[in-house]
Amino acid sequence: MVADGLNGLRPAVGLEIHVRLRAPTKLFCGCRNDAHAEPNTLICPVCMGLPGSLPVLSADAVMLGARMALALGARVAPVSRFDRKHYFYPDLPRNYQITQKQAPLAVGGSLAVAGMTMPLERMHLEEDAGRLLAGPRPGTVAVDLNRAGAPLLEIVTRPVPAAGAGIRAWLRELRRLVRWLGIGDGSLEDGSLRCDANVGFVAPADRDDPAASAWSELKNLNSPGAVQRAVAYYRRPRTWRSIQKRAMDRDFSWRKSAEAYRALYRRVA
Amino acid sequence: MSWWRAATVVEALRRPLRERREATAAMARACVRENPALGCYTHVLAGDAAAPLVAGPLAGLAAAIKANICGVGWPNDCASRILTDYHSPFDSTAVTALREAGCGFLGLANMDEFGMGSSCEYSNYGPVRNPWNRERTAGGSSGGSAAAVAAGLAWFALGSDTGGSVRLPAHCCGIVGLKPTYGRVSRYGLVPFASSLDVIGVLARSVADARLVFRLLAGPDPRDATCAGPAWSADREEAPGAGWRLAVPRDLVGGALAPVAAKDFEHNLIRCRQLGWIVDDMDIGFAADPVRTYLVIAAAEASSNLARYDGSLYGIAPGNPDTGGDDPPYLRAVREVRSRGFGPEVQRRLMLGAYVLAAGHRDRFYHRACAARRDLAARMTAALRRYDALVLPTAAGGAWPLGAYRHDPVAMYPADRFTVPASLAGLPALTLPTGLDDEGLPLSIQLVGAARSEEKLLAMAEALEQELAFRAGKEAPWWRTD
Repeated sequence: MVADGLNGLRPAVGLEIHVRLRAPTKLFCGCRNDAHAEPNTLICPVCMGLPGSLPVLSADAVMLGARMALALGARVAPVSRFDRKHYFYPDLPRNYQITQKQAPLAVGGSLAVAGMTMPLERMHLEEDAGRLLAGPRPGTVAVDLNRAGAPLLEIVTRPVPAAGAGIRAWLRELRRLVRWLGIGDGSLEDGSLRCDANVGFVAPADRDDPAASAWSELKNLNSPGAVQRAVAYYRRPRTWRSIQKRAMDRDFSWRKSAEAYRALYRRVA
Repeated sequence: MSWWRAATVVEALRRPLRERREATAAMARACVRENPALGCYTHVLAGDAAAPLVAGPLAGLAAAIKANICGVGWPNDCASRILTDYHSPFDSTAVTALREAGCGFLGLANMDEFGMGSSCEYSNYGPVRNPWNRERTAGGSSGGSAAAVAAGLAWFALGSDTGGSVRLPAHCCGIVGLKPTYGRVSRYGLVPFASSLDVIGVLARSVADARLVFRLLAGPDPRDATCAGPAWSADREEAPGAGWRLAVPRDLVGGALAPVAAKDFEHNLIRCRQLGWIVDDMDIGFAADPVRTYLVIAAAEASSNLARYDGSLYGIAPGNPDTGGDDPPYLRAVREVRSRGFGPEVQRRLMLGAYVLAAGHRDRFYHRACAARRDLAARMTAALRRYDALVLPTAAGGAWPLGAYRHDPVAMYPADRFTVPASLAGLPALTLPTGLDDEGLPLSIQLVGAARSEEKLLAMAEALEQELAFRAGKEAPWWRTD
């Protein structure tokens, strides 16, 4: 990298892709997994988080996730575990999301497109949250829980040097694979394929100073082009900051999440 | 005295159905009459709920259901203000099993809010009073279940046991309490306190009654992923006999027993030997404190499980948001509901749970407690490969006075010291009443068995029950003075 005030740090991008799985049911209950039904028609005690209900894992979602993992050359873990990620938000009935942090469904793998190989970090299953709608009265919010508990496969790439044009093509190829394998609809428009980009500066390998690296996350980039633009914008830090919706560093602790979500409440609530 | 006051389920089943129905109807009237003095029910049920016209092995009888076990037709508020008027739209698997057996439901048993407590004083409905002495605790958290059964206001009761919540009340009220193996009875419909510890248990007036109800409840449930394996009928039925091998883990017993309780405990060991059983002393060799280990794990899980109570979908609605802080309105509303809806003990445990799970504290507290738990479970399981059961007291003495810990709630936590080991290890445990102390309050003995060895524990307890010839229904004096 040219000397540009970045102190030798190199821009890199890591993607988090959420694929809504085309499983017949939600991840932990028997409700139909359908994004297009009338609000709150596909709900039950489990996905509403009613007291005493218990989640039971859908075998279909596991098989679809494993299919994707195998197609990408990932190692499917013989034992994987689910964890609870806590935050208070009205579209999350239990106020925690069931996801996989410690022991994901699969690790490793990669996808090469037009000479660019994107190595993968991990793939894990998690449940989607509900949807916030405008409430009946101004200033109120309504919640549609049809999507709450829908099965998602999150694919996390390893950070690669930020090369915007390549990422666009890569994402398109991933979408094609999702559709061809029958994993999901892969539609960016209706949110059945969502992409978050972690764009950041990485310290060179010879500098063992984690604090020197800085990461920002851009949520819900809804087209491959948007991802590419975001990566390009990041090279101009001032522009970047002005478009950045929210920043969350890579610390998963509840304190950081709480702060990030607190910022989000201020905007929506 | 009416015959049903002291009769067991097994005895009642020998009578004609018509007599059972009449007795249960009289019992339901007694519930309405006597509950105000005892506080064992949060809601007394009547009509079809108490007397369903369903055939089955329990037809004509009715149970008390702890207020954290969901069922259609009654409020499920877990004795918490935050769930005021919450009605579950579904039956728990345990309730379904009882319904299918023809059993009715006399009421919702009072409890410590969400199961957090050892004395049934932390209830939105006020304390449960011990039928043996109304100034004493009935134990907790299933104190309402135990008091109802002991007072003849239910044929038997369902409770839940997280760290001793079935066994301690059974001890205080002089009845039998069975905590099954974790995963033996479905938790579907049990409002969770600490999911890795919670078990639905049975409170009954005799070992045979506990066995009968346990067999109805035990078995796999596709709606509870932790409830697997064959139903009880696949167990080897255990005949009572000589030659059981028991061990007393002396280091877990320690020196905590009141003198009269210690005397009773040693006396009971002698009676076991007189039955031809071997009773050895041993040390489990567990270095940590079981109560602290339990508190950290239970509080951590509770802080997660109780996160859902935010006033948005059910329960009490948000009031005026507090003025504090610069938080957004939604978060302020949640905080207001939770501050008003949860009682002091629940708030204490939620704070503790959030603390031990916080980044930076997790390794020091939560992960250490989990490691200690695995160690304890391994040690107990190893001991139970050599012995048929471990013998422990249930509590350090007879039921303590209500209000004894009002000014020092943390001092009550060690009341669970003898019951948490089996909970942490997920093992079945049975509390059997053995006699009365010098104040006329019940004492008991606790048997802990290997995983899925309930039938063996029940057989052992039944032999000991006959040997000791103590039964709440026969000894309890309280209603005769009415």
